[in-house]
Amino acid sequence: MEDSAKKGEGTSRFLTRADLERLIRGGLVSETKGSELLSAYRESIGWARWIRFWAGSLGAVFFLAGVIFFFAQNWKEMSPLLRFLILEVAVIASVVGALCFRAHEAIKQWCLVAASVFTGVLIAVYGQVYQTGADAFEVFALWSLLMLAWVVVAKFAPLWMFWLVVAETAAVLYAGQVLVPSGALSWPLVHTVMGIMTVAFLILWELLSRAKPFAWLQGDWIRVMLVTATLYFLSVMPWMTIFDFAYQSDEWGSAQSVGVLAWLIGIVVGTWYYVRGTRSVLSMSLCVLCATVILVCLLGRWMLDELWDNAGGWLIASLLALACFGGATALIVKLARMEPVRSSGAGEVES
Amino acid sequence: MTLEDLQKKGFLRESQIDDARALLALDQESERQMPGVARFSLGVGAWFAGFFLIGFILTAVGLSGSAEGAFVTIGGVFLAIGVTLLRIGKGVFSDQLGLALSFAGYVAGIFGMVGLLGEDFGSALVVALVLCPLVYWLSRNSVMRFYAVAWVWVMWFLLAFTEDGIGWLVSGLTLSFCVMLLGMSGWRPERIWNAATVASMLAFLVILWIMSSEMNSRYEPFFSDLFYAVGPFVAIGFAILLLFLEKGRGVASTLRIAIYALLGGAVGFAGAPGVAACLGLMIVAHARSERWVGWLAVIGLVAFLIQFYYFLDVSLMAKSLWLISTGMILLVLAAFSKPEVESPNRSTPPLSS
Repeated sequence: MEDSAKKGEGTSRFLTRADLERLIRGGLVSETKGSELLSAYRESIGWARWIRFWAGSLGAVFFLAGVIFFFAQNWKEMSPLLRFLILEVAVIASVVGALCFRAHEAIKQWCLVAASVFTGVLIAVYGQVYQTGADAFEVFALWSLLMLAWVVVAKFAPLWMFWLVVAETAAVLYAGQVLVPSGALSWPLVHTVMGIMTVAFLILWELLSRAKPFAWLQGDWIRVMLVTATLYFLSVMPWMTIFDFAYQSDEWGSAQSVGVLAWLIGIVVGTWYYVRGTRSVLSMSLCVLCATVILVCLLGRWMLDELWDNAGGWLIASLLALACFGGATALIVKLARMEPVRSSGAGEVES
Repeated sequence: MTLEDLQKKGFLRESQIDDARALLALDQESERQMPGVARFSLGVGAWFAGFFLIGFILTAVGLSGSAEGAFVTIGGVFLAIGVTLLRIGKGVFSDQLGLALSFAGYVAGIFGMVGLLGEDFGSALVVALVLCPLVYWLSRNSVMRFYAVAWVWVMWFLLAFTEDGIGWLVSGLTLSFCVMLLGMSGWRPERIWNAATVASMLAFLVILWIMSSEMNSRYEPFFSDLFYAVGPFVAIGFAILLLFLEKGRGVASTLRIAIYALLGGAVGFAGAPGVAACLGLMIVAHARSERWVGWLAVIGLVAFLIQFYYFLDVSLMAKSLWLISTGMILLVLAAFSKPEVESPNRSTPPLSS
């Protein structure tokens, strides 16, 4: 039974051109038949659908980037009134376009992406013309607020991610311009807070993408991006603790406890969830790798703090690194083979 | 297109299916044994351990004027042990130790030889060029093969920042581009040459990145004139490869490739050769059903577009007009391309799905 299952799995896998070249080189397909095979392969490639998708997506990206470049130029010959007029007409035209093309999902979505981008440009031009002196975080916060309605209506996963980037940029800028200078938060703690905020979005995404009405939100790339962002933000506090502690400060503060604890919980829960909950080998591996990098840095710092001019210290640090990453690799392989408690969400594409 | 399809169409006999599966299953089997991300973890571990091993060699030998010979000897021994471990060793730890030793051995060997031959990057390149074929053929490990070629490119990049940098940059671009195109045309067994193709592809993108930023202001006016020819050159190169990969598909295919060559050449001429290259790479990736190359090209495209924004030689107004007109042409192209009925035998799902 198992053999026949494996057989089926092997024969139904889609072949790449490199696979076919290997079959021809391996002598399984004769030279004459080989050129026929490559010809049949060429015919099997669906170009029209691919061109439609990528020419449409890249065309929209290039066009919107061109508009951003144009207004960033701050062209003196164009009066402020004309600038506002162009952008307001562009926003209205995009929204009207989305209404007119309700039946064509892709066009509607790209019209709303355009409306969202034009809104940001309009706010930036407003600041450019009136020299409002507003802090950068206010611009991003206003932008994320104004585009939210279109983001909700569009039901387009890339636009949601774009909105999240704008909103998190606003939050980071707010921290940098208000919270850190006033002493309310330190930079490492800001990163921890950002990590908690991103993990909240990740949990929300994991819950929503499983529900049928939110099927449009599925896609493993979103999970990988959110997991990567979360791990980056949460890792800053342990990183700073390892390399700054005892240099900048000898005192272990409550902020460090909170940050390191949040990182530890994130790693443990993330690894467990992506092995036993929703299976995602890549996300689980990212958690394990993040923990390993921090652990090796900690051991390296501890080892070389006193023995940096001793060859033995470096050799031991090297062996420790090998042991840690070797262990991590073995753990990833072992966890990847474990069965999940329940089946993965529809968004799961990994094996 | 699957093995089942090949059998149905008469390209393979039923008795050959098992052989074909065995021939293609090697990668699948190794993927089952160790996922790609686990191999990545091995590589990262080797980097960390290799870094500490370099520290070990430096502290053990010291940096005195007469230490070059010791560096070369230790480097050679480490490299030999590393390559041997990768050839005969089995298991995670021996692979990782082999990679770490090879990495540290390479650095120590090159460092020592540079001291012996003369303190310049040219001698480092010579050492990397001599070691590259040796390590490539002796080591059967794809990561080690990748490193062997990557070291040559790293030395090449360093030479690009010297007095004669422009010559190194242009020759590096041409050479890496040719190796990449040849590798992707399938002219040699992919299993052996894949590491060289991937290393050269990354080198090609890095050289384009250097050319599009720093270099332009460093080598005025000669470089300014040359720079605008890079985009059309890259677009024509990709178009030739696509014509080869798509040969026999008729006028429509040739027309599509010509549109890419014109559009890519124009974008490159406008000052964004990286964007033209990534567009070409995306199309080639689809023609060969190489999904990871496709995603690399998409990420590169975004990065080069951002870099184009900061490219000072072209005014924002000109950039804006180039982008808006290219975008409109692409949108028109999308609007006029009719959705076809997908062939049930198509090779792999497109990147979009």
